[in-house]
Amino acid sequence: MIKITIKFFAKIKEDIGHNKIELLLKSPTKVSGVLEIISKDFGIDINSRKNYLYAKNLEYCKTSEILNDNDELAIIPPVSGGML
Amino acid sequence: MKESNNKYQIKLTEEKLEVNNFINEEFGSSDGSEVIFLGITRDNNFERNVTKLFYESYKDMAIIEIEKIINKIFNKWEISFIKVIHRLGEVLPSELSMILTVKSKHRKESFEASQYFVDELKKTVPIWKKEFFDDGTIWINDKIVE
Repeated sequence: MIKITIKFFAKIKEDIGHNKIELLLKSPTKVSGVLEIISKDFGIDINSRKNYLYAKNLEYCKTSEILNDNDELAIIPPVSGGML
Repeated sequence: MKESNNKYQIKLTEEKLEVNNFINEEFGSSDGSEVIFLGITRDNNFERNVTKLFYESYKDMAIIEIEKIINKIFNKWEISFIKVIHRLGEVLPSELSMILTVKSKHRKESFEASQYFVDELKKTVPIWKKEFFDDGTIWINDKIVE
């Protein structure tokens, strides 16, 4: 088994109701696969949020990126720092 | 959280930003320009009254992404020092959300680099802003796009 940590921020954190979850998987899994699992578990279709980005271990990544043991995946809603 | 060296300083803080504490520094003699940008929280947006803001951050990654912007600036302009402090947590109207200073030998470089920094910050740095109105809240930019 491998363990990955998933972090949520801003609106998706409120929608999911958690800022962090841990997921146990049988084998290394693509980001897209993990998103499917989360979406199913929480009833929220994250993949449909086309303006969302993802980061693996603090670096932006594609949904085709593979997550391994102890990796951290962050779900990144559209950023809005600074001023308008 | 604070990252710094002799070329730049980055701080993300929940402490209230006081401009007098920030700019009350000795000026060096080698730079002829220091551009200071202050981001101030407005009490209105979308024609609604803003009662407060809430800034949230993925701090470790935000520092990395800010460093990337700063490195691009150093590659693009002749800049001697950059300091950025971004507020997190609750911020009230009229309070500072961000302080940026950019020092250079001549003014053109520090003006251009300051504009570039603020523009880029909003594209890649994982900091999110929630606005509180009299009659509701909104996470800025987070509209469902399908």
